[in-house]
Amino acid sequence: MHERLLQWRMWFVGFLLVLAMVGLTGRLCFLHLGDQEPVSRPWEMKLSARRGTIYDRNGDSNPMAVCLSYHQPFIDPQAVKPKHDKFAIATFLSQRLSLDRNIILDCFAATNARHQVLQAMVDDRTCREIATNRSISGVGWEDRAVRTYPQGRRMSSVIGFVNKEREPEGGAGIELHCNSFLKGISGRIEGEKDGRQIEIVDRRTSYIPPIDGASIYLTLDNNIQYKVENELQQVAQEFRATGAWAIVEKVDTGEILAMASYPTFDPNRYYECGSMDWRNLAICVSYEPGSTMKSFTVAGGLNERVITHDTRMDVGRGTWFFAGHVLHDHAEGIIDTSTALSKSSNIFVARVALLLGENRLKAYQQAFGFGSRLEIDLPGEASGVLRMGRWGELATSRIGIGQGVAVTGVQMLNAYCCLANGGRRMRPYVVSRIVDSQGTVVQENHPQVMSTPVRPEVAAAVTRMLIGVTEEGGTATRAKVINYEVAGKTGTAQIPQNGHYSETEYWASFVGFLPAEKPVFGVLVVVERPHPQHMGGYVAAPVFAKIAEATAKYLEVPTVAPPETEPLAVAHPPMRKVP
Amino acid sequence: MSKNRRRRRFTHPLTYVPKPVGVGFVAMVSLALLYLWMGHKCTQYSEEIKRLDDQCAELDNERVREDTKWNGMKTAEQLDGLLVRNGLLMVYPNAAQIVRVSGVSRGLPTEATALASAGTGIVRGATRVASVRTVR
Repeated sequence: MHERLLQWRMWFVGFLLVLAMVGLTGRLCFLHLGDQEPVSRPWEMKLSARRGTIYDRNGDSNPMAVCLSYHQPFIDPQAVKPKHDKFAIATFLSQRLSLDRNIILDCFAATNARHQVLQAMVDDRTCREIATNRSISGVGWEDRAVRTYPQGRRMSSVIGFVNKEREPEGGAGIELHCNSFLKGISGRIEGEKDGRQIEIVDRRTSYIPPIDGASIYLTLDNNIQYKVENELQQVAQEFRATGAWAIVEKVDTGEILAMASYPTFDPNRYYECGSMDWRNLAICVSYEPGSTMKSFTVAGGLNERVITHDTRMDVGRGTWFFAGHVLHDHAEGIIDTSTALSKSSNIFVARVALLLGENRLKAYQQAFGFGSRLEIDLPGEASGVLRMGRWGELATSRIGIGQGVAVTGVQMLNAYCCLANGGRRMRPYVVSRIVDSQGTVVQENHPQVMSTPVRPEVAAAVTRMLIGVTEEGGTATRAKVINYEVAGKTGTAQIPQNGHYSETEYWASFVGFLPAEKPVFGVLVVVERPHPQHMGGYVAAPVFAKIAEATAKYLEVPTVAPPETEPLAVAHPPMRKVP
Repeated sequence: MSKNRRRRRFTHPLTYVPKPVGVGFVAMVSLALLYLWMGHKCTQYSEEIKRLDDQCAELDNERVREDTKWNGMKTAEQLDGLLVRNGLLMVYPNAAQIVRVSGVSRGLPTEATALASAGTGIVRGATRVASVRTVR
């Protein structure tokens, strides 16, 4: 009887165990395979892509704009555990974050606000150190991507800036123009979190990694840019100018090697200055070119054979009455075409413009790129002003000498580089190539001929005439560069104010290229409202000379004159004759 | 007889569980344990992957930060300032002061010719001899 009872008990316990196991297994299957409501919370997170880097033409060694990842702390006073001391937390945080302890204590005191951001950017290590400290509570973290410009103000007018919003967008310059390439594509994680708000990693349902933004390689050179910006700042301060801009362009390719504006701004703190300082003056300001325009009128005349380089005209005693208006001149007597350019004769060139005629002059100016955008890869490019209606004889004579017409700096330099390049006008560009995060080149700019306004022999003839400008007797002897022959032209234009030309405010400019016989690069310098001097040959030409000399040496442009000093050493000494 | 009866009475109770039930029970328990072990390993691996991913991102961020710091230290302004503080004036050399070492004699391309042939444009570094003067 006792044995049977024991056996029955064993069966009963065994049955219960099996029943429990079957129940548990069934529940397990139901939980894993069934279509029931999830117990944990679904969770989704956007993964921000890192914004691409901007480099100068020297490549990876010179990043001009980079994106850094930081953690920004915030205080939630209600989340502080009762056992923790707020004063101790504030002291610890102030030491680690280099913040004033009172600021942190104020955040803890304001119990109504649950999200008080502290103005500190913390790296991963410090963040982890604070987050894992068990005696700290009530501190949260936000991931922030900070756009940094390691070179500060350098190239700021070209590079632009990125706004401080959570989703950074380019606000100016390359940052704006190439925003779609730079910003990349955000990723996403979908999964679940447990009750402690920690992700259950093995329950991720979807993981789309972010695609970082592409890197931009500029044609600008950091070292040339440094020189240009320094010289521009010095001339602007010396002559109390309201603005100044300068460009260096490679003649045979159209690559912009430097492009600077004054005043400038620090893109790391772009919000501290007005929007007017964000402008790239070299492309967005249309100014009257003055005498620098004369080269194209003469080039048009030579190309149409209405004049030759031997053509002589009598400009009288420097005064010419035409169409009821007086035109003054620095030159006097009978002068030829070369002298007209070197002395910057208004009367001679105005007559050439009339010989050329309104339509042909307009066609040449358009062919040289004036009056329309050059489609440079920067935002905010102005088209300049070239009147489209009928000009009449007076306007034709004045536009021929650079009055009543407005150009941008990049248009003017590009047109001079066209003369230097044998009459072929190249498209100017600042972006060399765009490389995605995988290292694939997604876009590459190559030299592109836009137009051929004059024949090569005409371009060469005008270049020879422009050499005279920087030689003795010319208007820009200060633009001379030792060991190089410079071709260029000064410009001094009155600034129109209230419908009249101002007698005191000027644009002083110089544009040229070197070496004249085989040009490598061109430089334009424009100074706005210089005082007390205002002549292009006095204000802008010396700046041109300094920039051109430094650039020529930097680019190792071969000199034409004999070297200044004896060689320091020779690579292969001459072989000695063996007797 | 009575001794035999007493011995039979104290036979171990597990001997009464039928063999198929016991095997099934053990198999189910084994499967459950295997399931738990696999689940645990999956969690362990996924957490390890996440940790390594985070570490990789952290190191990458650190690298970019250090690069930026270094680039900030070697800007042209900084270098100019250092030269001035140390009484040095550097100027670009004249054409005659540049020594070009040809790689032909050794049968090896120099850095300059390699760069030039790679079409990188401006040749820097190897060919340049800077003139340095000390200003006191």
